[in-house]
Amino acid sequence: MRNPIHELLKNMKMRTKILAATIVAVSVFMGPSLYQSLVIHKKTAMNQASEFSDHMLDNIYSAIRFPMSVGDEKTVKEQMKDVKEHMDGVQVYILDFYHKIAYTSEKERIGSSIEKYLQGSESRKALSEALETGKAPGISFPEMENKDPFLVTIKPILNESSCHHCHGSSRKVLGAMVIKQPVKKVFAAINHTRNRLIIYFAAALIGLVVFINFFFSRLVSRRIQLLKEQTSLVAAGDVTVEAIDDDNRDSIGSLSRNFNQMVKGIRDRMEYANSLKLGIIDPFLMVDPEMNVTFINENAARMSGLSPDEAIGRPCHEVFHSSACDKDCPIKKALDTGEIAEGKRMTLTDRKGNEIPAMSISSILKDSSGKVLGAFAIIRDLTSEVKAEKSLQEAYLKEGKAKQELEKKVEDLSRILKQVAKGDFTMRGTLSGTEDAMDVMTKRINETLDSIVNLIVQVKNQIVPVIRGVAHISEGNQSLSQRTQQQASSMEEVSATLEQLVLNTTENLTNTRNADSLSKDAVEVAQEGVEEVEKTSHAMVEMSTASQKIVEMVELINEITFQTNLLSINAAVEAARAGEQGRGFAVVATEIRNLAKRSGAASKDIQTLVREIMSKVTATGHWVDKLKGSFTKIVQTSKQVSDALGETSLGNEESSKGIEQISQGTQEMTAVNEKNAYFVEEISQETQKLMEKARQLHHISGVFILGDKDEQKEEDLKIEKDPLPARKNRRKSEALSTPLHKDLLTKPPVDDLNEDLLEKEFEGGFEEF
Amino acid sequence: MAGTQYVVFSINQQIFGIEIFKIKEVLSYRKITSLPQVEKFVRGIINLRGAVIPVFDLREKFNLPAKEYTKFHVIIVVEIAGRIMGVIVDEISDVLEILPEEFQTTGNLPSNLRREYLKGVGKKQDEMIILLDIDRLLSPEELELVDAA
Repeated sequence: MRNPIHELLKNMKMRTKILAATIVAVSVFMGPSLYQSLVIHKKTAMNQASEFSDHMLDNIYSAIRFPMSVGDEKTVKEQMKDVKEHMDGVQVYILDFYHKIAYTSEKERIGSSIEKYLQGSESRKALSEALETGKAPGISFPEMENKDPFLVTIKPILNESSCHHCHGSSRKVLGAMVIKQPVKKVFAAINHTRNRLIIYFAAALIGLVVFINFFFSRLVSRRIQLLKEQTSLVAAGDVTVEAIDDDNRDSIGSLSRNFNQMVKGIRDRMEYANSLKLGIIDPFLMVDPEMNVTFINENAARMSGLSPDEAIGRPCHEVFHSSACDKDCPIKKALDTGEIAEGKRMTLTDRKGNEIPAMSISSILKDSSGKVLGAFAIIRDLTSEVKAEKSLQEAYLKEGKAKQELEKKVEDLSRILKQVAKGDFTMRGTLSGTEDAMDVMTKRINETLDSIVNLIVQVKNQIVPVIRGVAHISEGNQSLSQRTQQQASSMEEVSATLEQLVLNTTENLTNTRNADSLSKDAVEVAQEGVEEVEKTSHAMVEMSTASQKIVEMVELINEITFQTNLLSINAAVEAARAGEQGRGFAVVATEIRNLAKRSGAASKDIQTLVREIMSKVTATGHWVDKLKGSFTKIVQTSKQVSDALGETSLGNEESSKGIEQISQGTQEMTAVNEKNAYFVEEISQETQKLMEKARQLHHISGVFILGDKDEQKEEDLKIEKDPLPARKNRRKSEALSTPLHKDLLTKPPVDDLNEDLLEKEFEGGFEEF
Repeated sequence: MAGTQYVVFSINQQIFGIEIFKIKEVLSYRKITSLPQVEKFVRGIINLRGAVIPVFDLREKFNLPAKEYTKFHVIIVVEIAGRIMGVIVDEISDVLEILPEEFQTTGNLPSNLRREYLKGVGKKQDEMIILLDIDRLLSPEELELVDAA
């Protein structure tokens, strides 16, 4: 069941789907409520009809009750007749408990069973129950009679006390009353209402659907439609579509924006790939799997001799006629293996028949699923490389030849240099006149040989002055020897003097040490003096204290004297009062007064004396303090003296040492002087040897063969030999240099060639002589 | 004979004498209990063996500069117009007998002294002793003041 629906939905348009969904949803939610409202309406109308029937039943019953209780049938019948006349269509039946109709508004139906006129089984059953139990069913029953709808209401007639006189009291229920009320009009009203409701509902449904559809179309389907169209274009490969302008923030809006982003991304990538493709400068082409050219750049087209437009679409081998086309095609190889085929060398033949050496690199192009879309090839023109290779080979051959020539020249030079090593400077390298590096070198070697020849000639010329110089040195050495002797004698004098000086210094040092110990004694004495002064100072303080005490005592004496005086005056007063009898007492009083006076004078004297002592003590105290200060100074000064003496002592010791060192130095100098004398001797001997060597050198330089310059040299020697006797005469007065010159003259030059050095170095050279 | 004995004392280096019979006793200086609302020269009272004696200062009386009291000051107990009282002096020096030939009245006296309470001047070994008439020393008003004390 589901699959067909699914299929149906799949093939439906979005709009239709939404329309169908809306209709279904609205019907599902509104249908039941419509139905419910119809049911409620009908029920309400029926209830009202039923209630009306009940009222009618009660009215009729109350109207017939009295006539029946008094047995007035006529009135009952009249009542029924009234009902028939005035109540349109209402049927009233009064029946006994055998269901037989006793009275009715339908006269023709009297005496027949009610069953005939009750069609519904429910109403019949309700009637039987009511007759049996005496209880009303409480509801009305809708029924049809002759296609007209009626409402049947049943009410049992109970056996009341007023009925007993006719019906007795054995029965509970006497019968029943049934009313059939026509409800055709009620039903018609209900139907009318229902129809109108349905019409309204349908209208509302249509309105709602139209409304929803309109909005959906506006908000969703149109935008989706646009999106669909654009995506279809992109899917078809057209990436130049315009961006969708949708600035809504809903999901379709963001979908649109994503789409724009996506298209831009695709475009960027394509552009990237394109720029890569176009950026390759080497000849470059792309083919499809069938080897037809899909792209070719300018350089490749030029190489092939076709224009790019002509080349595109043609098979590859028609565009490039290559030696590799028949077998080993790199593009084919790449397509077959899926690997990169590189470094393949081939020869291309262009339209004019020119052969072009080339090399190609090929690889395949794949899509995202790995499907092969084609292949590409980059071709490199190797013409220039091949040319370069050729020229390189030629250059190599040329170089070989040049090398041989060079070796020959080098051999020539080597021969010349070998001769030079033997002392023969006559040979020179031959110049080819090509002015190449070898020629220049040969020229330089020739020049070098010339300068060496010059140098040797110069050396030969210089040897004679050297001999002269050595003679001078020898002479100077003699006078140096004399001076050295003089110096030695004066050094001895100095040494003697210094010894005396050392003795004196030592004595001085001893004296200083004595003075130092004396000054230390002085410091000690001064220190003792300070101690004594301090004792004195202490004693002075004690004396001052004692004097103070004396002053206090004198004060006391004064007081006593004063009291005594008072006493004596009192005594005199008393004695004066006593008159003659007091005369003796007066004398005593006078004596006492005199005593007091004397003691007062004495105490005053003591006071004066003590004050003097105290002032003197104070003065002495000052002096003692000063004395103390002086002593302290003495101690300090003595110490300084002592220190100074100590330093002097040290200085003396140092100078003593210094003098000893001088003395030692002098002795050393004397020794050095002696050595100097010895050295002078040595120099004298060495000078003689040097003279000999110079002479030998002169002979040796004669060994070199110098060609035409050498002849001049021999002349020089002859010239040199001449002035020597003159010099000899001059120097005869100076004893030292004489033997050297004699040697130089008497011995012929070649005789001295027994020296080791000469034998070794010039062995080869001699052979040539 | 006929000489009169005087007790000689000094105030501010001036030497005075009082007749010995007028003197009751000589005391060393002691604490004087001062009295309120009395003339300045009345110093106060002292207790002499049970008897209360008013004391005055002759320095004040003679308008001499005041001086602080020491324990060597002397209170001379005298009888003035039948009243016993104390007189504070600087120093008591002697009891001398002035003979009539040594005694003389004189007009040249220091300005601070009034003639009425002077007896005269005694000359003794080149020393001039001013002899006071103690009975006249105080005026009746002053005596009343002393009595009040």
